[in-house]
Amino acid sequence: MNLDSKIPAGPLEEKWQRHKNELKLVSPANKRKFKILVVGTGLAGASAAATLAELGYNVHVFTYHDSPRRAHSIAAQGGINAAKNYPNDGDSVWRLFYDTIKGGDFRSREANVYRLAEVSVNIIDQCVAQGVPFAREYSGYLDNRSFGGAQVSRTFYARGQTGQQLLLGAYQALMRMVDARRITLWTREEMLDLVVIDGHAKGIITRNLVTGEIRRHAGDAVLLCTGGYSNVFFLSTNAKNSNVTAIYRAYKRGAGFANPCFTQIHPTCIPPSGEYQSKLTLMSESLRNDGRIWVPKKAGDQRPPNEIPEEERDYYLERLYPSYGNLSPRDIASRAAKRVCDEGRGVGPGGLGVYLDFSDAIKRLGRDVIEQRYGNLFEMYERITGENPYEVPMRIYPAPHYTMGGLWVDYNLMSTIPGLHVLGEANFSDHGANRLGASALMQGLADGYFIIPYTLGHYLASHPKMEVTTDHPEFQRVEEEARARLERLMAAKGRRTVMSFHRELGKLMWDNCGMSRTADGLRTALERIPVLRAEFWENVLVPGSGQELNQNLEYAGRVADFLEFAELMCLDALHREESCGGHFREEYQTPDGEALRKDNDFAYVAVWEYTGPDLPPRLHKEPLVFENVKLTVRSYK
Amino acid sequence: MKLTLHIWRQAGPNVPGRFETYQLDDVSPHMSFLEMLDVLNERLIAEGKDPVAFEHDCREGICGSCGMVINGSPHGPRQRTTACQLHMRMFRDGDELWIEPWRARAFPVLKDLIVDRSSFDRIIAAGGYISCHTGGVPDANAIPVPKPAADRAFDAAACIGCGACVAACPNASAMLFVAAKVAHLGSLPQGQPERYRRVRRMVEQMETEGFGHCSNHYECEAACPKGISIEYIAQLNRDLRRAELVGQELLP
Amino acid sequence: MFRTTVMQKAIVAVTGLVMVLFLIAHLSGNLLVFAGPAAINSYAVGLRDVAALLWTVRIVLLGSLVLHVYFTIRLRRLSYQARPVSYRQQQYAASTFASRTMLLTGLLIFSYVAFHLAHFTWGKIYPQYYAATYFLDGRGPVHDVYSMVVRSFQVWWIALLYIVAVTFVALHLVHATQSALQTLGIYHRRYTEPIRKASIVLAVLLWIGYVSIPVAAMAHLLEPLS
Repeated sequence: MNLDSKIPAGPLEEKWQRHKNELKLVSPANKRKFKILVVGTGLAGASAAATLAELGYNVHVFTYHDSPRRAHSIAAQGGINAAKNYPNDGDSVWRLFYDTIKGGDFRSREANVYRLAEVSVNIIDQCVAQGVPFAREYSGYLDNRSFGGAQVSRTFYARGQTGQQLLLGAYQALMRMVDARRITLWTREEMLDLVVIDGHAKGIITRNLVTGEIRRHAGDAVLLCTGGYSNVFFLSTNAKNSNVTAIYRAYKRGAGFANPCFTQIHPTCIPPSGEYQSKLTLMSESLRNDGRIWVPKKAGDQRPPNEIPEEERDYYLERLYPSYGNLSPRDIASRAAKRVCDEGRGVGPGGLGVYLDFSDAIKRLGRDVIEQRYGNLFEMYERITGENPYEVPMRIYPAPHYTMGGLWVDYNLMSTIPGLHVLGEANFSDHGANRLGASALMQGLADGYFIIPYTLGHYLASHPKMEVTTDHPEFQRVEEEARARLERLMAAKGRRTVMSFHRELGKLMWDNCGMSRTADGLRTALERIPVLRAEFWENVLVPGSGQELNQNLEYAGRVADFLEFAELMCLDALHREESCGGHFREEYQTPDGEALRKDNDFAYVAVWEYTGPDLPPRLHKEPLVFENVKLTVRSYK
Repeated sequence: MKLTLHIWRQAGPNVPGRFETYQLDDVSPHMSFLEMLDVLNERLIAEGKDPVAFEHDCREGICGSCGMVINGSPHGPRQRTTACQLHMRMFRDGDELWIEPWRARAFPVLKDLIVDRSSFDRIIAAGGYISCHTGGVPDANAIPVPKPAADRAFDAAACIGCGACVAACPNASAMLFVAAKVAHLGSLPQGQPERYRRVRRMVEQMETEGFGHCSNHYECEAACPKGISIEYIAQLNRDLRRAELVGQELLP
Repeated sequence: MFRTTVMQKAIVAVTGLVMVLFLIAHLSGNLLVFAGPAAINSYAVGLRDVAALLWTVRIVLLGSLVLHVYFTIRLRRLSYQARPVSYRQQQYAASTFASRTMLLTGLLIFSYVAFHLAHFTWGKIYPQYYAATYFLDGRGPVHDVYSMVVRSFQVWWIALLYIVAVTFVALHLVHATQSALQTLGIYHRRYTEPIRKASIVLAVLLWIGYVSIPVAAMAHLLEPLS
C-alpha cells in the first residue's frame, strides 16, 4: 500500500500556495467531459458538488435522503472556527493551526492542519456571501464566541443552528447548479459498493430506496463525503441513518482505513432515559461557556441538586483544569465525567450524569441574557426531559459524537485508490486523535469549497482519460455481489430484528471500545463480534422484499457493515498501546489519570489494508513528522 | 401507558391506503413519539408483519425528515415541536391516536407515512439561493448587516423544510416555506441583486408543483415547528407584487 | 402579470377592500333613514342627480364583485385539487370559523345581493311599496325611499332575510379586511395585531349599523308615511 502523503516541500506557510501553483489544470472546455460522482450531500459533499459544477464539471450527486438538505451536518449546533482575528484577541492562522494540532494530541499532519487553518478565513467569506445569517453585533459586523480548547474567540455561529445554516448555504449552491443542469441529483439513492477498474475508482453501484432498483454509475472520479461512523455504538448523537457503509465498502475495495479507533465522545449530551432509547441528543458545547459542571462530593448523594450546599459540590473541571476549567477539550471533559460517575458520584437515573448548572450565570447575567444565548437549547432540553433548566441544573453525559478516523487520504484528499477522493468526516485527515469544537464544519467546507476543486483537477489532468461505461465486466461483477448480499439478507428470515443486533453491537462497543479501553476489553470484543456477526447472517429477520421501499433492508445492510467494521476498530484500538486524544487506554495513563502518549512508538497514522474475507487486515504506518511544532504533553491545567 | 394507534397504511404511491389499528400496552411517558413507533415496529417485525414506514433521521428536530399528522395536527399536539421531539408524556393513558401522512397533491405518498417532498427542492432550485462563485467574494466583514436584518433573516432561515406548513394548510399551500426562503435572502444586503427574480421564479415553481393558494388561515404558522411567522408571507406578497407590477427589469 | 395565485389573490383583496369601502358608504347613506323621510329621500334624489358618478361607482362595484367571485372560485378550485385525499380529522390551531367559511358566506352574500337589488333597486319584490312617492320641498314628488324601506322591513321575512344576510357579511368581514391587508403585504410586528382587532370591530360596527334599520322598523320606531 502506497502511503505517499504528497506533502509539498517548503516552509509550512507556503506549502499550500506552492502546491496550488504546481497542480495541473483541466482546461475549461474539457471540464464538462469529466463526470464526477459525489456521494453524500453534507457540508463536504454539497460544497464540493456545487463548486465543481460551477467550474464546469459534469457532477452527479447521490444521497439516501429525500433531499440533500437533510444530511447530518445540519445538526451541528455550536459554530465554525476561522482565524479571522476580528475580535483582535491575538488569533492567527498559526494559532488556529497550533490549537488544532495540539487539540488532536499530535496525531495529525502538520501540512494538512495548517492548510485547514489557512482556508478557514475564506470559508467565512464564502458563507456570508451566500447569505448565511451568522450572529452579528449591533455594529452590523460578525460576532464571535469562544469554544473548548482555545483561548481566543474565533468561533462564528448562527444561534445554536450553525450547521443548519452552513448546510443550507451549500445546499442552495448545489440546487442552483441542479437548476443550471450542471448537477444531476439522485435522491433516495444509496451507494452499495465502489467499482474499481484498472486500479482507479470508476464508479459506484446504488440502490434506489423507493423502487429497490440497483443501478450502475460510471464516472471519472468518485468523491466520498459520507460522514462518520459513530453509529457503530448504536447510541450516539449521529442521525439514525448515518453509517459506515460507503467508506467501509471502499476499504474492502482497497482503500486504506486510517485510525479507525479515533472516536470522539462529546461531553454535553442528554443522558439516556430507558431501554427504548434510540439515540442521544447533543447539546452544544457552547453551554460550557456559562454553565458550571459539578457532581456531589459524596458518592451516592441522592438529594435534589438545589438542596446540595455549595461546599458539598465538586466543580471537578474547574478544580482539575484551572486554566481552561469548564472549557477543557472534549475528550478531557468526557473522561472526567466518566471518572466521577465511576466513583459513584453520578446523578440521575443509573448514576449516568453530571450537572451543568446555570444558576451562577443567571445570577451574574440575568435570565434574559442566558435565554438569548441558549434559549433554544434550554427549550430542547425541557422538551426531552420534562425539566426546566432555568430552575434545575441540566443533567449531561458524554456520548459518541464524531469519528476522527476514516479513509486515509493524501494531501490531495485522494485515498489509496487513485480517483477515489474522500472529504469531510469520512476521511481521517485533520483532527488527529481528537477534534476541537467548531472544527468539523470548518473541515467539511474547507475540503469541499477550497481543496478538492484544485486537487481533483490535478488527478484528472495527470492520468489519461479512461473511457469506462457501465457495461464493463467489473460493473457487472460488483453489481452481482451487491445483489447477492441483499438477497442473503432477505433470505435469512431468522428471528431477531436488525435493531436488536445493532443494539447489542453498540453496547459491546461502548463497553469495550468507548470512552476508555483496555486490552482485555478489546480482546473480549474481538472475540464476541465475529460470533454476533455470524448470528446476524443466520438469524436476522428482514421483512418485506427488496423491490420496494424497505427501511429494514437498508438498515440491515448498514448494520452488516458495522458488524465487520467494529472488528477493525477494536483491532486498531488494541494495537495502539498509548493514550491519545479520544483514544484512552487505561493501561497508559499518568498517575493523575491523564492520557499518556507514546510519541516514540505511535507518532504515526495507522492505516489498515483489507486482505480478504476472514483474513486479518494488514497494518501500514505513515509516520508523522513534526517540523514546526514541538510535541508537548497536552495540558489544560 | 396503554395506547390505541390508528395508522395510515399504504403500500405504494398508486394503491389505496387505509387505517389499521394497533394496541400498545407498555409505553413509557419518557419515550419520544418515534421511539414509540420503533417499539411498535419491532413487535410487527417479530410477528412477521410489515413495519410502519416513517421518515426520520436526526431525531433532534433539525433535519426536517420526520413528519406525520397526529390527531389532526402536523407533528402532533405540542407547538413548535417536531414529531421526533414530541414525547409521550404529552399523551394520556388510554388515548386513541390517529396517525396520517402529510396530505397534498405535491407530496405524493410513497409508503405509509412517507411522502415525496422533492417539490420543495425544485422550488429552492428555481431561485432559493444567492449566486456567488466559490472564492470570488469579498471579506466577510466588508458586508455589514444591521443586526435586526440579520435576526430577521435568521428567523426565516430557521425553516427545516419538513412540510408541516403544507400539511396544516387547508389549501395545502406552500407559501410559508417559499416565503421563508424569499424573506431570508431578501432581508440581507447580499440577497438584493436577485431579490425580484428570486421571488418570481420560486413562486412560479411553487405553482407548477400543484400547491394550493394562501388564504390567510395562518394554520401554517401555528404548525411550524420553528415558529416561522406569516410576516414573511406578507413580505413575499409585497416583493412579488413589485416584481410583477413594476417589472423585474425596472427594479433596482 | 396575474398568472400566479399570489397576484390573483391580490385582485381578490383589492376588490374586496373596494366593497368594504362601499359597505361603509352605503351604511352612512342608509342611516339617514333615522333622520327622517326628507333627509333620506333628498339623499336618494341627490344620488340620481350625479348620474355619471353613480354609474361609475356602480360599474366599479359590479366589476369588483365579478372579479372577486371569479378569482375566488378559480383559486378555490386549485386548492381543492391541491389536497385530493383529505384528513380523517383536522385540528385547527389558528384559522377561524370565519376564515374557513369564506366561500360559503361569500356565495350566500352574492345570492342575497341579487335579491337585494331586485327588491330595492329594481322594485320587483313589493312593487306597490316601490311605487310610493314623496313630495320633496323644492323638487316636487319623488320616489319615497323612506316608506319603501320601512314598509318592507315591517314584512317579517324580508327583515329576517336581511338580518341573516348582514350577519353573513359581518362574518365574512371578520376575516376579510385583515386578510386583504396581509395579502397586499401590509404586515407590521407592532401594528398587525391591532389591525386584526380593528378588522373585527369594523365587522361588528357594520353589523350593528345595518341591522339597526330593520330592527327599528319592526319595533315601529320607524313608521311609513301613509
